[in-house]
Amino acid sequence: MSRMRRRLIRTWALTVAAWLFVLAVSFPLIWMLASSFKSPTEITAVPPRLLPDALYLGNYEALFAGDFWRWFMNSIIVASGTVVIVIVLGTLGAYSLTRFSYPGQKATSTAILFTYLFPSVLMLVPLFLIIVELRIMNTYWALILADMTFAMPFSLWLLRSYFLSVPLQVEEAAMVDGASRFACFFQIVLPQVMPGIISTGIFAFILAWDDYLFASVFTTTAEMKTLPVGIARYANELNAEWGILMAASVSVTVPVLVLFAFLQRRLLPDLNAGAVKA
Amino acid sequence: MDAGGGSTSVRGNRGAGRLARFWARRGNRTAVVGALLLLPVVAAFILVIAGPLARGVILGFYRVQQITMNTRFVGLGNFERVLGGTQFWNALWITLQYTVGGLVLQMVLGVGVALLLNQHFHGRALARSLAIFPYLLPIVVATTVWKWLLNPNYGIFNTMLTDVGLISQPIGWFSEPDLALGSVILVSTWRVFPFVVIAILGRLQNIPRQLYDAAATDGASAWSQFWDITLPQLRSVLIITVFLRFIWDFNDFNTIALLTGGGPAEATLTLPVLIYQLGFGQHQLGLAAAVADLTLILLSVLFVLYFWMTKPLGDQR
Amino acid sequence: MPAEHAPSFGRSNGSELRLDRLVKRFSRGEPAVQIDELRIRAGEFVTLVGPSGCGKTTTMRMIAGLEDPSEGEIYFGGKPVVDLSVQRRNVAMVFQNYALYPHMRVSENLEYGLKKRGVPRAEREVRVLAVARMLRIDGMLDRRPRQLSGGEQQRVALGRAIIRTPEVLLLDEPLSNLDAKLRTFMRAELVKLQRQVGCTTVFVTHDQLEAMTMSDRIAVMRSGRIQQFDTPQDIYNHPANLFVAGFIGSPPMNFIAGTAEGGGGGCTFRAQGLQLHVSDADCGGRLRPGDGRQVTLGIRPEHVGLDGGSGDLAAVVSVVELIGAEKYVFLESEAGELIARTNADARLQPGDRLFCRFQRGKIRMFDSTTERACVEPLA
Repeated sequence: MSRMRRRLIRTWALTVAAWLFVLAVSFPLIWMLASSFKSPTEITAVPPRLLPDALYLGNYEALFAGDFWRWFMNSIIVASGTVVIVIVLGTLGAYSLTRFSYPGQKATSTAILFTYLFPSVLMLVPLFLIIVELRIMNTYWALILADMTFAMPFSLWLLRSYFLSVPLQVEEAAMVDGASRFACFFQIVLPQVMPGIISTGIFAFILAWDDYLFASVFTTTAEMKTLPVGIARYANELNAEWGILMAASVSVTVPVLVLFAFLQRRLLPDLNAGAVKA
Repeated sequence: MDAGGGSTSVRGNRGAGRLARFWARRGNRTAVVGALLLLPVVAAFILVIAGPLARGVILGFYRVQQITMNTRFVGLGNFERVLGGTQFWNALWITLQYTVGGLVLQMVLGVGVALLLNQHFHGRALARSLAIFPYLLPIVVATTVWKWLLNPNYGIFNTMLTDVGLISQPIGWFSEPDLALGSVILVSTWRVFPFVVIAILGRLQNIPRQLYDAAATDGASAWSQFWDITLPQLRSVLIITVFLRFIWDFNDFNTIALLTGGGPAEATLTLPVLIYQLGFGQHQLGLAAAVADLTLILLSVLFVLYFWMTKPLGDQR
Repeated sequence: MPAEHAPSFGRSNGSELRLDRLVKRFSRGEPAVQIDELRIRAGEFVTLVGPSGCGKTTTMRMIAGLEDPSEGEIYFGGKPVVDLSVQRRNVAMVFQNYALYPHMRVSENLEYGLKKRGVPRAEREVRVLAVARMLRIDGMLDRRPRQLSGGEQQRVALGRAIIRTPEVLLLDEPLSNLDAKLRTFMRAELVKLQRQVGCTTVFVTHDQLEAMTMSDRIAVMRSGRIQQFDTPQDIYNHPANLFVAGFIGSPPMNFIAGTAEGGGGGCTFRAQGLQLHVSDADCGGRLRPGDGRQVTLGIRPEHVGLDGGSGDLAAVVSVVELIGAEKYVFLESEAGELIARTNADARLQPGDRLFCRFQRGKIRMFDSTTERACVEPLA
C-alpha cells in the first residue's frame, strides 16, 4: 500500500513540476496572444494585466489594412517556389542516391551533409554579387535562389532517409513483375515515399517562411518585403505599436502552426531523422 | 593517311570498342542512368552552393568597388586589415561567449527537461507539444515577443522585477552594454533548447526497457541506473547535438541581428553580424568576404576535430 | 493467345534452366559464386541450400536478372537470357519479406504483373479470382497488405508470382518469416502448389529440413560453389564430402578422425579407443584404396546402436534429451563426442557406461585432407 502511495505522490509531484515549467516556457506566447487583443491604452497600462478587459480587434484591423497581405503573399510565393523546385530536384536526387550505385555516390552524400551544416552568412556576399549580375535583385527569383542554398541540402538529406526506408525488394518485385525503371519510380516508389515528400515539403516551406537574412538583403522596396522583414522593419520604427506587432506575430505563427499540426504525429521522428541521425 | 593518324584511329576504335562493351553491360547502363538522374541536383548545387561558396572564398582576396562592382586583386590585404584590427578579434571573442554560454544553458536545460518529460505524469503528451513550441516559432516572432517582454517602458519583466523589489527602476536589457549579451543568450536559449529536448527525448524513448529491468534486478538504484545506463546510451546523441548546436549558434545571425543588431557599441557583435555589417552597412564586400573566409577556416577545423573525435566512437559500435 | 477460363489454374510449361560456367565477383579475390554447370529439368523443384553467405541468394538473383553475372550464361529452355533485363525474362519471384506493394490492394498486387505484360482486363480478373481461390485469399482481395497476417501476406506473394505462370519460379526463403507451425503446413502446401502450376522452381533456404522435405533435387552450396547436386535421399545417404555430411541431417552426422590401412575390398580403421574393420559392404559402396591415409569415419546418430555388454566403442552417457518420440543421447568416448538416436523408452542415465555399435552398411568414410568421400556408391 505504501509503495503505491509513494508512486502516486511521485506522479503528482512530477505533474506539478512539469506543468510549472511548461507554463514558464510558454509564458511569452501567452503574453503575445493576450497583448495582441489589448487596446493601445490597455497595453501601456501600469500595472499590466494578463488578460485584456475586452477583446480588442483594432490591432488586427490595423494590421490587415496595411501592407500585411502584400508581405504575406510575397512570403507564400517565395516559400512555395522554393519548395517546388527543391522537392522536384531532391526527389530525383534522392532516388538516384539510394537506388543506383556508381562511383562518387558516397562522396556526394557526404557533401550534401556538409553543405547542410554550412552557415548561410558565408553565402551572403557571393550570392549578392551573383544576384546583381543576374539582374534579379529585388525579385522573387533572388529570394528563391537564396533560399535554395539551405532548403536544398536539407530536403535532399531528409528525402534520402525516406527513400532509404522504402525496402529495395518491393521495387525488385515490381521489376520482376515487368515494370520498367520509369514505372517503378512512379507506380511503386513514389506512392510509398509520398508522405515523406509531403513532410519534407512542409519543413522546407517553414524554413523558407522563416528566412530573414536573405530577404532583408535581397529586397530593396517595400512591396517586395516578406513577412519577417516587414515585421522586423516595423518593429524598429519609432512609432511602432506593440499591439499591432503582437497581432502580426500571431498572424505569422498561425500558418506555421497549422502546418505543424498537420505533421504532428510525424514530428518527433522526423526532426530526429532529418537533423540528428546525421 | 600517315602512320600517326592510323594509330590514332586504331586507338580511337579501341576506345569506342571499350565504350561499346561498357555500354553493353546492363549493370553499367543502369549506373549511368542513375548518375544522370543526379545531374540536375548537382547542377543546382554548383549554381547556388558550390559556385557561390568558391566565389566567396576568392572574393576575400579582392577589393570590390561600391557602385560599379569592379574587383581588384589585393592579395592578402583584406586579411591583414582584418587580423590587424581589433574588431575581428573582439567579434570572435563575443561569438565564443555567445556560443559556449548558450550551449551550456541549452544542454543543461534540454537534457533536464527531456528527462522530466520522459517520466510518467498527467497530460504528458500535451506538455511535450507545448515545451517544444518555442522552436517552431518563426524567429522574427520570437525576437519581437522578447523585445516586448523586456521593453524598458512597458515590458512585463521590468514591471514584475520592480514590483518584487529586485530592481529599483526598469532596465534596458538590450541597451545596457553589460547586459545585452546575456539577454541575447537567454532569448536564444529559450528558442532553441527544445531542439535538444527533441533529440534527447527521441533517444530516451528508444532505450530498451530490458536494460533498466536487468539493472534493477542487479540491485541498481535509480541514481545508478541513470549513471550506468541512461547516460552511456545518450552519449552519441549528446555528442552530435553539441556539435550541431555549436555550429548553428556560432553562425547564428538572425537572433542577434533582430534583437540588437550587434549593439550597443559592438557588445553583441558576433562574426556573422560583423560580416553583414562590413558587407552591407559599410559596403566593403572584400573585407566581409575575408571575415567569412576566416570563419570558414575556423569551422573546417571544428569539422575535422569532430570527425577525428567521433571516428573511434564509430569503431566501437 | 487463348485465355484460361478453366476454374483450375493455368499450367505453366516450365522450361529447363541451365547455368553455364556462371561466375559472380563483387570485388577482386575469390568469386562469390562459381558454378560450372547446373541443369534443372523442366518442371523440377530444386532447392539451393547452404549456410548464409554461401552464394545461394546471389545465384537466384542472377537467374532473376536482378544481378548481372561477371561471366557465364544462363539458359531458359535453351535460349540465353543474360542479356535480357529482368522485366523481359519470364520469371517470378517470392521474396523473403514478401515485398508486397504496400499501397495497393491485394487484387492490385496480384494483377500488377499481368498489367505490365498487357493482359486485357477481363482476363486479368478471371485469373486473379482463380489464383485467389486456389490460395484461399479470395475473401481479402480488397484489403491492403498491412491488414493481412504473415501467412496471408505470404500467400498473396505466392499468388502474385504464379499468376503469370512463369517459366521459372524463384522462392527466396519464403517460409522463414512464418511461425513454426504454419511453416510445416506451408511446406506441404507449397509443394502441392508447385506440382499444380508446373513451373520450374528454384527454392533458396538455409534450412536443411525444408530442402530435404520439399525438393526433387537439392544443390548444397558452400563458398559460392555447388558441393553436391542430387536427390534428397542420395544426399542424405551418400554425402559427397564432409561439409555436406555435416550440413544435412539433424542432429548432424558423427565424425571420428583416424587412419585407414589396407585397401581394395576393405580396410582397418584406427582411432583413439576404436579399431574397426570396414568392408565395402559395411560402407554401402566401394572403398577407394587408401593405405595409411588420414580418414574420417562418419556415422549418423540413428545408426549408432547402444549396448550395455559389447560393441565397437566404449562410451559414457553425458546428457539425455527426450524429443518426444525418440531420445538423443550425448556420449563421451576416447574417440570424441558422439550423438545417438534411440527410441523414447530406452532407460539411460547420465554416467551410464556402455558400448556403441555402428550399423554395418551405414558407415561412411571421408578423406581427412581433401574432405571428399572415399566411397563410391554402388550403381
